[in-house]
Amino acid sequence: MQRAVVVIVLVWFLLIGIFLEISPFQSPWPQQRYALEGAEFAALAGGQIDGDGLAITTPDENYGALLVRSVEIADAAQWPVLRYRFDSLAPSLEVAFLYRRADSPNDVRTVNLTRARMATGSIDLSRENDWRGAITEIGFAVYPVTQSVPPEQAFRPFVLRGAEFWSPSWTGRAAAVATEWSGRRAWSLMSISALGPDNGVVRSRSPVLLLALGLGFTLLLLTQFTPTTTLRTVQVIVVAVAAAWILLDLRWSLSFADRHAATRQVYAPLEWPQRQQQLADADVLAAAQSVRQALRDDGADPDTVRLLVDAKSDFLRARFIYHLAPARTGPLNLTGWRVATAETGPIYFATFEQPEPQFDAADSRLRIDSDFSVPARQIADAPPLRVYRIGPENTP
Amino acid sequence: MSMRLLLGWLCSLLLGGSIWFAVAGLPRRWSDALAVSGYAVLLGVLGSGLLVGLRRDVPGEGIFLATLPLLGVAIVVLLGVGYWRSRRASPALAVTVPPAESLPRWCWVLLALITLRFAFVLDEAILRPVFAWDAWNAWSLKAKTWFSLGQVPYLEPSAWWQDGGSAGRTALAWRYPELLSRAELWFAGAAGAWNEGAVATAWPVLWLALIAGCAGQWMALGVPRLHSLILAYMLASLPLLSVHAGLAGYADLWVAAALSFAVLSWLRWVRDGDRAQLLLAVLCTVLLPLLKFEGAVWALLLVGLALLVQVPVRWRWVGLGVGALLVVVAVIGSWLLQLPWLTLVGDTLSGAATSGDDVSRVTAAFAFVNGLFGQNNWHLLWPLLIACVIWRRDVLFRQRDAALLGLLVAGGLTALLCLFVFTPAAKWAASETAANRLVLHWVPLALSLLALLLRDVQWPARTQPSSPR
Repeated sequence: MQRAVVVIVLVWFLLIGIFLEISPFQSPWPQQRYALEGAEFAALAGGQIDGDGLAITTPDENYGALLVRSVEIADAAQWPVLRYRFDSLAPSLEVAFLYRRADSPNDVRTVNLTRARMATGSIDLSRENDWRGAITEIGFAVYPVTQSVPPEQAFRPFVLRGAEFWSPSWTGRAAAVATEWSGRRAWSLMSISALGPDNGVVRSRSPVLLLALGLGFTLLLLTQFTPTTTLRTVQVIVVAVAAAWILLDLRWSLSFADRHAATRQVYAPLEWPQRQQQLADADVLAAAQSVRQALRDDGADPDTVRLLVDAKSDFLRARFIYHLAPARTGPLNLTGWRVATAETGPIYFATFEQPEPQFDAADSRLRIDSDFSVPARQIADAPPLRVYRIGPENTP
Repeated sequence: MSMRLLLGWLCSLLLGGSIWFAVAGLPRRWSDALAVSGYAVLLGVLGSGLLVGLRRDVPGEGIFLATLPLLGVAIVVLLGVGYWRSRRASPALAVTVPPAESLPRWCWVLLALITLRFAFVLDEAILRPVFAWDAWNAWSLKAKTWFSLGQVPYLEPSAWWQDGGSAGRTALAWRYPELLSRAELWFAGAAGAWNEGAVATAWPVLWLALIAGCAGQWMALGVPRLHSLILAYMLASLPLLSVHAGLAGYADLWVAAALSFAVLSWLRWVRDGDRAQLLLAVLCTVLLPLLKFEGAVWALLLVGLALLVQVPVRWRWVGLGVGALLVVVAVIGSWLLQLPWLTLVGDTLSGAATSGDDVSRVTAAFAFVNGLFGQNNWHLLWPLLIACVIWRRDVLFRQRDAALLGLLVAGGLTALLCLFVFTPAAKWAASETAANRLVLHWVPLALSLLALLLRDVQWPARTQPSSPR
C-alpha cells in the first residue's frame, strides 16, 4: 500500500507538471526580478498618487483608464512573466497589458489580462508571439467589460499597486496558470454555449481534465497495487471524486459570484424599466428609437409599415431588430431586396454602422450594386444610422 | 415581484399540479411529492403558454385577464377529473405516507448549497435584461412583439413581402416553435408590461423544478434518498446548467426538463407498470417538438425506443422496418406539405444553415469531446459516468430500466456526435457555440443513469434497503 501511495503521489506530480507546462530546464524560482511601483505610472486622466500606488478616481472619455510608463527592457524573452497588482478593481472592468517595442515604436500591442482572484495576477508572456526584442513602454488599459456591461455604468475607482517582471521559472509559470485557473470572469455572449472559451483566449490546460486523468490513474494504480482490497479502493476513489467535484464546484461558484457581482453593481440600484434601458448596446437602442421617431415624422406608423433592416454584423442587425420590436421589420439578409414583389404600402429601410448601399442624392436612388438601384428618399441621416423611404413616389 | 405576477405563477403552478392530480392522483409518497413539484412547473408554465395561444387577438396586459378564465376552467376540469378518478380508486390504494428515512446532518449542507445557488441564479435572471443571443433573437422577439400587437403571425420571407395586411412579421427564427414565446407572453401579461426580469423568473424556477422532479423520480425508481440528494446537488452544481438558469431565455433548459421528465416517467411505467406515469411521459413528450426542433428529434428517439421494446422480440426486426418506412413516409409527407422542419434539416445537413469555413472532422470531434471533458461545463460528469458504466456494467444487463436509459443516452449522444462531426454543423462544434447546449438536453438523464447504476450499491457506512419510497 505504501508503494502505491508513493507511485500515486509521483504520478500526480508528473501530471501537474505536464498540465502546468513547466520546463525542467528552468529554475524553480525567478533568478531576476524587475519591480515597478504603481506610482511610477502616469494616467491620462484622473490619476492620484496613493502611497506606492496610483489611484484612478475618475474615468477617461472611454469610461476606463490608461496607465503607462517608459521602460528599458533590452530583451523581452528574458522577462517572460508579468505580475500585476490592482486594488478594488470592480467586476465590471477588464484589464489589458500594453507595450511598445523599440523596433516598431508606432505600434501599441495589447494582451488581455485575467483579473486575479487575489490582488496579484500573473501572465506568461512567453506564449505571446509579439513579446520579443527591446521594449520601450508598457502600460495597462482598464475598460468596461465589453459585452455584458453598459460602459457608462462600469467605472469604479481603483488603485494600481505595481507591476513586476520575472525571469523564467517554475514559480512564474505556476503563478500564471493559477491566475488562469482561478481568475475572475465576466459574462459574455459565449457563456451560454461554453464555459472556458467564453472569456477569450484559453491560455492554460484544463484543470477538469487534470483532475479526471489524475483520478483515473489513481484508480488504475490502486487496482494494480492492491487488487485484494476492493472496498478500500472504492472508498478512496469515492472520497477523491467527492473532493475533486467540490473543488470544481467551489471554483465555479466563485466564478458565478464574480459574474453576478457585475450584474448587481450595474442593475441592482435600478427599477426594471431603467434596467432595460441600461444596456451594453445602448447606442443601438437609441438608434432604434430614432428610427421609430423618423417614421412617425414621415407620417408612417412604425408598427405597420415594412421596415428593411441592415447593420454591420449579424449580431448588430439582430439587436437592432429586437430593439425595434414590435416594428414590422425584415432582416435584409433574410428578405433580400424583393421590393418589386411587395404588396401595397410604403417600404422603409434602416441601416446601422453599414455604409452600403450608397445613397445617390442627385437622383434619389439607393445603389444596391452596380446593376440594381431603387428609388429612395432619405428621412434620417444621423451616422451611423441612416433611414430611407423606398418607392417610385420618391423619384424626382 | 408584483401581486399580479405572483398570481400568474400561482395559476401556472395550480394548472401543473392539477394535471398531475388528474393523471396520477394525489402524491402519497415523498418521491411523488418531490416529483410533482418539478412536473407542476414544466406542465403548468407550458400549459399556460398553450392557453395563451387561444387568445391571439388580445394584446398587452389584457392577455393575462383574457387567459385567466381559460386557466380557471382547465384547473376546475382537471381537479374534477382527478377527484372522480380518486373516488373510483379502491380504498386499498389510498396508502398512507411512510415515515421519511432520516438523512445524515451533513446532507443539510447540500440542500443549503442548492438553495444558495437558486438564490444567485434567480437574482441574476431578474436583474439582467435579456442577454443571450438566441433568447432575444428567437423567443423574446416574438413575445415582445405579441405583447404590443397581439399574436400576429410570423411568415416566411416571400409571404412577408406579399402580405397585403399589416400584421404579418418575419424574422430569422420565423419557423421556430412558438410555445416558449407564448409562455414568455403569459408572464409579461401577468407582470402587466414587457418586463424582461419578470419573464426571466421562469428559468431559475424551472431549474429548481428540474432538480426536484429528477430527485423525486430517482427515489420512485428505487434510488436511495441519500443517493438522490447527492445526485441532486451534483445536478445543481453543473456550471452550464446554472448558466442557462441565470442567463434566462434559451429553450434548452426546457427541452432538458421535458425530455428528462418524459424518460423518467416512462421508466417508471416500464418498471412498475404505472399507467399514470405513461400518460405523464406522453404529455412531456408531446411538449418536446413544441419547444425546439431538437425536441422533435428526441421525441422520435424516445417514442421509437418505447415502441420497439413493446414489440415481441421475434417481431423487432419487422418493427424496425416498419419504423424506417414510417420515417420515409413522414419525410415525403413533410416535403409535399412543405413543412418547415424538413427545410431546417436540409439546411443543416447541406450547410446552408451554417456559415464560415469548412472544418475538419478531427477538429470538430476534438471540439465536441473537449466540451464534454476539458471545458468547465460539466465538472467531472462524463468521466464519472464512463467509469461507473464500466464498473457497474452488469447492472446494464440485469436491470431493464438502467439498460433502456443507457441506450437512450448513448443514442442521444451518438446522434449529437454524428451531427457535429459528420455534417456541416461541425462548424458549430468547432466554434463551440451549439454542441454543449444540445448536450445539455441529455445531462439530467446522464445523471439519472448514474443514479440507476449506483442504485444498489451498499456503502459500508449505510446499509439501508433501496426500496421505492
